[in-house]
Amino acid sequence: MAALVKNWLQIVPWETVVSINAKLCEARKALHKPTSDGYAPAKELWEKSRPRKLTLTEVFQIGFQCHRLAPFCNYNGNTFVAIIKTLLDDNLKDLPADKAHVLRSIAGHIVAGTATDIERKQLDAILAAFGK
Amino acid sequence: MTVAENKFLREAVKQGLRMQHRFLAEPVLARTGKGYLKSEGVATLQRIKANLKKSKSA
Repeated sequence: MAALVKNWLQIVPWETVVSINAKLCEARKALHKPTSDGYAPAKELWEKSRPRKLTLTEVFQIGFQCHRLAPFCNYNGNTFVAIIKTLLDDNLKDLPADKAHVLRSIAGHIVAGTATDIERKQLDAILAAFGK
Repeated sequence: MTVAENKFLREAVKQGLRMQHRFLAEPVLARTGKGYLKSEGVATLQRIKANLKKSKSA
């Protein structure tokens, strides 16, 4: 798997995050609107992290934190899980398909806030195999 | 927006729509500290493993 430490979020400006949420809300006729308390801190965290070189674990944590801050009224989880999984898709081409699926799945669970301790350990094992 | 950013946007929306049925609209994690994601089940992983096995034995 190609470089695990890189500026993963460079390709995703905040405007893209907003557009993704708008499209997902539109599909379900849900309200797409920024929240008064979560939007500004989530945007700040995202934009501050964008130029940084990050490990995969850090990328997942930023996705989780932004999800938790809830910058939008609806579909925050859907938005950030979709972003993290899409970022992974481009970088998992060298992994065996089953390992790539497991990694994508654990990443989704971490960002969604549903990951178990067993999954976290499994993630550590997968990343260790790739030299973190 | 660059070409790469635009391509990413399209792919992320596609990805998001594909799994949208697994999410709740409302901000559950922000309110409760515990997220929600409906299980995908093991069918996909089983299919991937079966395909890998098939291609190895071929």
